[in-house]
Amino acid sequence: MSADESPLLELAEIRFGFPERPDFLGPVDLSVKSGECLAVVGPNGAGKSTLLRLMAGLLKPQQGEVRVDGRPLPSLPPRARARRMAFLPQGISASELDYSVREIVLMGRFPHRSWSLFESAEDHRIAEAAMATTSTGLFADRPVQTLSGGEAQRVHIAAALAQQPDVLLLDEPTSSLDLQHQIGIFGLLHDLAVRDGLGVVVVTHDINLAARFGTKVLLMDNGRPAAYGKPEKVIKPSVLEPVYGVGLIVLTMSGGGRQRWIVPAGLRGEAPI
Amino acid sequence: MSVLSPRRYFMGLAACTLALIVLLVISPGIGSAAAGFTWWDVWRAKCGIEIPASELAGRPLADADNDGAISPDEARQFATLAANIGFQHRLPRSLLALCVGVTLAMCGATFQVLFRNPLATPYTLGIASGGSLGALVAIRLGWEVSLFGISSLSVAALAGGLIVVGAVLFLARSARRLTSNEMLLAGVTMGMFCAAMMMLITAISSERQTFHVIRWMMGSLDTISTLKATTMLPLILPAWVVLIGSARALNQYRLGDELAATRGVNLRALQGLCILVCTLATAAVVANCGPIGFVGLVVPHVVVLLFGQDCRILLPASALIGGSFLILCDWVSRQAMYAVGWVTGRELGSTIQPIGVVTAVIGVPLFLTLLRSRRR
Repeated sequence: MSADESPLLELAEIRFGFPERPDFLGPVDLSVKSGECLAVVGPNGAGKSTLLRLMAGLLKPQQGEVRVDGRPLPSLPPRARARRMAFLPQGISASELDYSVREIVLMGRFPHRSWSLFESAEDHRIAEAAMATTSTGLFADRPVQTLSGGEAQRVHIAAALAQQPDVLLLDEPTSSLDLQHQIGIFGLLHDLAVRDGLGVVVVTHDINLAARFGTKVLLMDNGRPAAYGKPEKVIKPSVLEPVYGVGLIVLTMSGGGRQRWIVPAGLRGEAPI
Repeated sequence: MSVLSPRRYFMGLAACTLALIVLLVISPGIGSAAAGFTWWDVWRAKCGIEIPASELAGRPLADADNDGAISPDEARQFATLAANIGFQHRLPRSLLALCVGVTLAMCGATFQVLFRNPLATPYTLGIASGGSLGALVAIRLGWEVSLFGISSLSVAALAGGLIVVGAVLFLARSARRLTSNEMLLAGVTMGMFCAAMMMLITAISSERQTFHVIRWMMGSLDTISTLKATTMLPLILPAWVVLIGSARALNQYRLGDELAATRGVNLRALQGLCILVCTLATAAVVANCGPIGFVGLVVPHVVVLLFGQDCRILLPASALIGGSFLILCDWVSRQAMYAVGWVTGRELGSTIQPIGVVTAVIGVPLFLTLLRSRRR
């Protein structure tokens, strides 16, 4: 097995429960390799975000082990962990703060700086590169709160990239964005995995985007993995229907390549289109 | 605000430091106008440079034998007197104001970041109300002992403040985070409880005791000796060091708990340590000087408007500006009655205005002006 094929992130027999819901999640086994983009889908309350927090080390599994670069998560000091793995929570509060885009992105360098008070030329170079990757360089000196939701989300991804992680974890990065920005963000995540060799894990509600941009999909159902594998194995009505509890149909469109979309069946009324 | 560059950092802090040094240098010359000597006289006397008798003509204090002329002997006596008053009374007082201003401003800035609340002050957790209750109890019970320059009043106020913060931490212990709204609510509630207890005790106290505690609550920088400042140092210095050292972690903390945690910040350690050192430092200040208000609320806001939100400059700049601000307020508090007397043409004597009044009277317009100029 070559070095490239060893997983960047591994979950082995993970189990987790809350005091009011013991045995809520697990057992989950999965691995994310370099170049993979894992999309985690499932209904509300299925444990998607909990799973992501377990990966990030924000929650501690009651059983099993999370490994990053082959090392168990608890054995990594917080900063060393932060140099390997970046996490993007939902709804970052920075929008109320008076920080410029460049400041936000430079703050991603925190785990890499030792005792120096100021960012080095190296830090600035890496932040520039992160802003270039996410096409946020154009408004580098604007305050974050003047940006649109989609622009701000790209800035936060840039800050995560400035951390220079091997693994990028994102919790519903497109939940409040319009269609164009949803596609833009997922395209970016796909590129980061496939082109730049990161391991990306993204929690999302959009099964069609998960199928389009994920290289692997994990379907969670009530804390248990219901299906895990290539998108074409997971994103199909026979697998999704029992989990979501709605009938689904596949629309196939031709023209500019064949495209398949999964939409809920049996919606009442007629769409005026 | 753009990214904090070393240039902006050092220029900003250098300007604040320079202002502070200027204030300290002239502070031995600021005081009762009747003494009739300037900061320049005091420093010359201190450095052993003779003050020419011709310069002292017409100064009543220098003319000891009232013969209208200043002999070299009288000039030497004047120099000794100036050095004594300047360096044993006025400068220590300004140094005390410096320590108090630095501590309150830094703790205020830290609490505003920790609680993510722009209205947080060093007294948010109830240190001031607990300290006041402690002081009132000491006064009511007539404890007036002083040991190694630490009065029983200070000890009671310190204990009161720490007990109330301990109670707040206990009440809010079930909260997930050390700095949640439960903490703020518990702090406000304990403050109200202390106020009620104070009313109860005041109701059964004599007028003299009541007046004493009201004066105490107005805050005072009166130095009995230089000891007052030095007894505070073991409690306030750790806060200065820890808070300055936590600046970068606090920057991450601002972005949210989860993001900060995954960037490598130990949240509980950061919150616990900051609350601990701020509580001890603020309690020490309150115990010695009373609950001087406003510095901890307004100075951090002024610094944010001047230098931005980056904690790397926010904390040291708050410290320097807070110290300067309180030195200035102390001068005003000592000169205010002369000014009032001069305007009204009546002799009002040398009553010192309470420092707490002055911090508010100077701070409010300053703050509102800055706020307006920024909004524009």
